[in-house]
Amino acid sequence: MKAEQHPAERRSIALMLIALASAGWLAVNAGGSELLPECLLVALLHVSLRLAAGLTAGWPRLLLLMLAAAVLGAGIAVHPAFVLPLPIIVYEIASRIYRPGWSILVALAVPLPALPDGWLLPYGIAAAASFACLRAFDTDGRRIRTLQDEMEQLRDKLRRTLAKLDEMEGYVRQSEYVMKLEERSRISQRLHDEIGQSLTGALMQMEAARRLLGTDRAKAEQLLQQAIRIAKEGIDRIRLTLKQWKPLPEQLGMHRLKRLAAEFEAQHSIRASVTHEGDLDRILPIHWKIIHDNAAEALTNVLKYAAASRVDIHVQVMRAMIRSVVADDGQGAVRIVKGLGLAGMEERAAAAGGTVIVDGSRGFSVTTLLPLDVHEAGRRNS
Amino acid sequence: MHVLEIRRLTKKFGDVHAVDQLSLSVREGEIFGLLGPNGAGKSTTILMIASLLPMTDGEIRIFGRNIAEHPKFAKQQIGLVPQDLAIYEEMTAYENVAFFAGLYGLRGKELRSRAEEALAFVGLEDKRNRYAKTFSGGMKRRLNIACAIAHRPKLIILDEPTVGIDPHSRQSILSAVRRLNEAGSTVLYTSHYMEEVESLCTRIAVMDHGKVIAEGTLPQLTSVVTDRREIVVTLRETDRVKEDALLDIPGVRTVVRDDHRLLIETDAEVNNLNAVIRALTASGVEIADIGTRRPNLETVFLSLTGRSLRDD
Repeated sequence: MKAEQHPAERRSIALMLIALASAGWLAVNAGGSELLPECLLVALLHVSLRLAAGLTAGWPRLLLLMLAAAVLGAGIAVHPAFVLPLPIIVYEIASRIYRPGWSILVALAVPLPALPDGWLLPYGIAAAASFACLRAFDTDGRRIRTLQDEMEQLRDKLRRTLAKLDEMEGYVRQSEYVMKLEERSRISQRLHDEIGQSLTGALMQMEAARRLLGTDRAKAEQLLQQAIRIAKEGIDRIRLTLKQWKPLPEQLGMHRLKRLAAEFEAQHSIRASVTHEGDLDRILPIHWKIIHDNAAEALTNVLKYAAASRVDIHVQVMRAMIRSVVADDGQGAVRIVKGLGLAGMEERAAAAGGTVIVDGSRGFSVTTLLPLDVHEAGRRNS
Repeated sequence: MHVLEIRRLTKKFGDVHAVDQLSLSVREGEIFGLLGPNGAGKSTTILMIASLLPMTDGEIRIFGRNIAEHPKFAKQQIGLVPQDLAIYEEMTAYENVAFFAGLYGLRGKELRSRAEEALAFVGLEDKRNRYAKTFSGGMKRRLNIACAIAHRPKLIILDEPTVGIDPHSRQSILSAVRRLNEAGSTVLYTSHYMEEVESLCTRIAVMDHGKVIAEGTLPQLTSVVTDRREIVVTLRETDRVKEDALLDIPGVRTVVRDDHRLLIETDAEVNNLNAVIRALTASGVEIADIGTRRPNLETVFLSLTGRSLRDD
């Protein structure tokens, strides 16, 4: 198993190196420069043991740490300054054996009887400093580990949710397909019932008429007449059925607009609503296309620039004009710079003789005005 | 013949479109109203028509001639009354008018008689020798108009001429505009006061954000948004009113009664006022007052843009 190298642990190694360096400095400046080779040897031995401990785990690590402590203890005989890094290694060993708390102060007190004269105070200061720092590291480390665990859990949750979503999408596609199939089978059933039967009926009459053609002309004519009537009725019925089943343009248009808003709301958590007033019947498919495309474009802009929490789409049919507004409650814009999006909306509207007004004074609104053919409307009314 | 023709006129200040692909045409003899809220681009459009501001794109024709190719001709046809006063305070009323007439090339006797005529037109002939600085706001506005009309332009452009003046001066200016029109001038009038435009103009273009969003006569414009009007009848008592009889009248859509009033909503195109009065008198009620309400330009603007004309 690879040894776990924690940030807090790396910091404690750094701290230990600093302590060692200061011990070396003390050794030199306290007039013990003739002891320098010995001091360096002790220090190097200690550091390499400590680094080796860092690379291992479990009992071997504890053993190596204890060896490092022993080296320091021996080092005190060479120069008393080696008491200074001692608290760190004691703390580390203690923290390997049990979860360190205030009781670790007891462990730090263990080397006290072995201290050389006059080094009680420096050891005390070093012990206090080490205790404060290392405890802080420990606390940090624990927090980081908790957060990592939490993140791991969340990641796992996300993965599961995504998988579920994928599954649901598949299910939706599947249901759409099934619905289409059902619809198709219903239509074919109805076609069969309506047209199939009348055609069969008409065919039988016609067969009979052909047989009677040579012998009983009057009867044959009557049969043919009947066949024609049956076929005609069948055609009328099928025409009616088709007319009833074909969705009205306004149902399609409004439905598509509502779906656009619902999708937008679901994907971007910006509340989106669609409202309308006036006679939607008068909106032609070409108008619906422009309204839908411009609304989609405007929603894209809302997402990109508005910082809005809600957006309202309103379609109003007036006497000679359709007004379709996409308005958000976002930050608006004092200066409106026409980008590709706005230019595209204007072009679409202009193709049907309409205009687009953008207003950024209260939130941001894009209004598409499309003229209705009034003569056409007049004909419908009369 | 079109006095003024504007095609796809555009003015950009930096990236911002002040006037955006604007097209309109003014026929001879019209009082053409340009209505829109502040900042709609009315003044910018007018400055470009008067060649006082270069256009970014588009074309303006005065009497069929492109103003970019015939700047001098265009300027002589136009009398511009700018929004900000363009008169000299240190000169008398007469001197002001004579100075501007001189700029348009009038000289000598003709200049004097035309200047007097212009002053008389705006009712300042008895104040001809007073300094402009002693004038009230309304009088300064009228002098401003006199300066623009002395050279008898065929197209007079007035940019918000009634902003911030008293009702009397306003009436005087509106009547001057009517008389100028009767005398043969075509008028282009901008305002954000819808009442003025409704009462004065024969044709109206509604502007917003640098674009014309609707254009036509007042009835045409109101019929864009609705095909209904309302007959308001005030009665001594409404109890005896037979609503069914009213609803049978062709064109009548709804009848609502409140205290002493009947609100009858009817198709705008059906003339059924007589029938309504007959039905009411037949039921024996006494009519105290009767009138019709049509949607106004404010309604049109609100319906088309979702905002009020006076959103300043």
